[in-house]
Amino acid sequence: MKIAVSASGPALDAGLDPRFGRCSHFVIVETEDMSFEALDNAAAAAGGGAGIQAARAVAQSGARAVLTGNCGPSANQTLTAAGLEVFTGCSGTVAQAVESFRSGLSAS
Amino acid sequence: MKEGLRIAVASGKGGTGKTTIATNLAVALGALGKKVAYVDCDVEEPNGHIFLNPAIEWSGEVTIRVPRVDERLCNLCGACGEACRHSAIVALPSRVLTFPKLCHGCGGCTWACPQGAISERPRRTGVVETGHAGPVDFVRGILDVGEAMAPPVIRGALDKAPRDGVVVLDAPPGTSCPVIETVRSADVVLLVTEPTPFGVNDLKLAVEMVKKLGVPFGVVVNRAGSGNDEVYDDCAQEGISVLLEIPDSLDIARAYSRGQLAIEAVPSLRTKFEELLGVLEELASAERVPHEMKTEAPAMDGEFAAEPVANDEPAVVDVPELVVVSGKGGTGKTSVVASFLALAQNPTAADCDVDAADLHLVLEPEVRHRTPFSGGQIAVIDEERCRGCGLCSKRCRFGAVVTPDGSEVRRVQELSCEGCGVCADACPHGAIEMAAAQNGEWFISDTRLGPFVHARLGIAQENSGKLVSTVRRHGRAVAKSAGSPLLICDGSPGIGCPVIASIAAARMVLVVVEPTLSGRHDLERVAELVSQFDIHMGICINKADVSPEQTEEIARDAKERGLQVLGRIRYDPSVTAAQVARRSVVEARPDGPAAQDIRKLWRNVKDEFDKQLTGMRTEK
Repeated sequence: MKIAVSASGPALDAGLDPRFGRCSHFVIVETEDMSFEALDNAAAAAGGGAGIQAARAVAQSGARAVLTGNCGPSANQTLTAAGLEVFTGCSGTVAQAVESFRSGLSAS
Repeated sequence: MKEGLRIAVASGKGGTGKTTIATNLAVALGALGKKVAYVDCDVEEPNGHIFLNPAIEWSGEVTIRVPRVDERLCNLCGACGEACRHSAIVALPSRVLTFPKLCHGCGGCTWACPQGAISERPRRTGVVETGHAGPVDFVRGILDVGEAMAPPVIRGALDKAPRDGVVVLDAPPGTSCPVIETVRSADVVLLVTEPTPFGVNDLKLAVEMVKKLGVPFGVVVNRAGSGNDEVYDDCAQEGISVLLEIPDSLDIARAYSRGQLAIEAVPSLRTKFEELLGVLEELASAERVPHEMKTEAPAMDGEFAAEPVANDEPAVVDVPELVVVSGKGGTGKTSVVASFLALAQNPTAADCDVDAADLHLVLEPEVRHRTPFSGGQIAVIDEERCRGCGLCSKRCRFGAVVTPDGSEVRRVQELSCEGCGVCADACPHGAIEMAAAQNGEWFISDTRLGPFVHARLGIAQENSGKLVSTVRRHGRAVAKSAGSPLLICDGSPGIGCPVIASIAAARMVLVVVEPTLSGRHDLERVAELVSQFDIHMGICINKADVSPEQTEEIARDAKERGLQVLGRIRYDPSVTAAQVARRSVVEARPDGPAAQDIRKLWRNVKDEFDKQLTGMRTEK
């Protein structure tokens, strides 16, 4: 399954950016084999509605879940409407966040 | 003279006595047998009713048109989302989602949808009421709490104003969109100010604004005798007439706190207001100076030539924020913030009151970085390509595309343009482009009390909410790199867009309120707003001893709401003296009553704030 991580760079070892709408990149990781692609967050510099635009881009990337620090109500609403699951309160690097997500999945 | 005389009463900052002047003027003229109307356009914090006690006879909702998507017709092509500049409608892979609160009601998505799947429905943003207060016709607009857009409600109130007689418009404070909406419709403007450094600074901004709009104006000095003479020197130098002076008087202040008119408390003032009418008629009859509606890069003070920094998003950081706000302006918010900065350990400051920024007057910043701010887009018409078909004017819902007299081609009234792009999308000749508007500048500075992020919004510029967000974001980044444990923000007054931007996601909000009926009324509205954001809130009553009765009432209101009064500050002339000396009151007069009370207030605020921080940690 593909998951999107809000990040401060386009790589697995980039730090997880705690803010969803205004992060510089989304790293879209395939949890099966940890392959990934990076998405520039064009919405980061938007005046208003950055979270909504970011959420739309993430939804179009094919990700089924989002790992981030905080996610505003509009972005959350958009992601949920698009059928993505949102996990807030994540930290560390992109790879670490995905790892703990995976171990959380196997534990449950 | 044409049908009637519209007088706008405005000021660069709140709390200068706008409502006092507007209500007293209306009542004084009404008593002379004139046909007079009072229109409260300060829709975020309408207070005129407190002094006029009108009987309300009619009320109607103000709505804007927002999209409704028919899912049976929608093929998810996404044209609606591309047309919308405000992210109020977004096409997801499986459905279209709308955000009515972000919608400006431009109609762009409706035009853009090739399937005809989008219709519009009205959404309430406020209410307009009309009635009578004795012989005075009364109109007011009230913005619903939590709504960001005041101009439609102001337009609603202006629509209900009589077309003849004298119409007194009580404008919102500041120089941003809601003020423009009010002032542009007036024949003459009264700019109310105080003889203090904050007053002078804000008057300059207000003067720039009315000059840009080309409306004739004069100045009213309220609380005359309380500060220094700078305001008179400045007006003399600029050739601006001071039309009226209201003395600094405890009688007037007490009357105000009870919701009583100044002309009732001090009857000799009545003649002054009566005489004002003739002066205003004369001013209004003067030929209007033709003005060019150009968006210029606003002129900035200072001779610094610091390197511009990129307008990039700073790395996201989480620094605890204390935001000081007030329902209405002029309650002493900035004086409290300045003192907090002097008392706190290693703080960083941010001035989010970008419409009437005053904190820099006390902090005397040395600017390290300055960056232009672009808050949105504006339509630009290529006159060569324009064929004058007028489709743009027809589609624009903000009256921003006009045809100058004797011209075929269209022009954009930049002060009205919402940047929605409907005209550009509509133009069959490709004559309209959307260009970035420069709305202001923001600064990173050093001060004796720590790092400081502040901004200046260009006169009559929009997007103050976005600029506020920019200032706070950079405030947090600067605080982080300076190792500050705390960011203290001077918030915007009111309850609209910039205030929402000031308080969202803050750790704690302190509301500064005055013990007056207006203060209580505004506290109620701002408290409702803060509670919508689920942020911890405390209250401080400034000039508490001016009206012990109102102070008790506020304390009781607060208790009922489960809010804590964290401090009461006594009235102390040294607060103004400190302002004149460009210092916070705890620095300038550490032994005075105000300084003592503020130190006590700070200890309580700090305790509450620390509790919030610990609470947050245990939550996680």
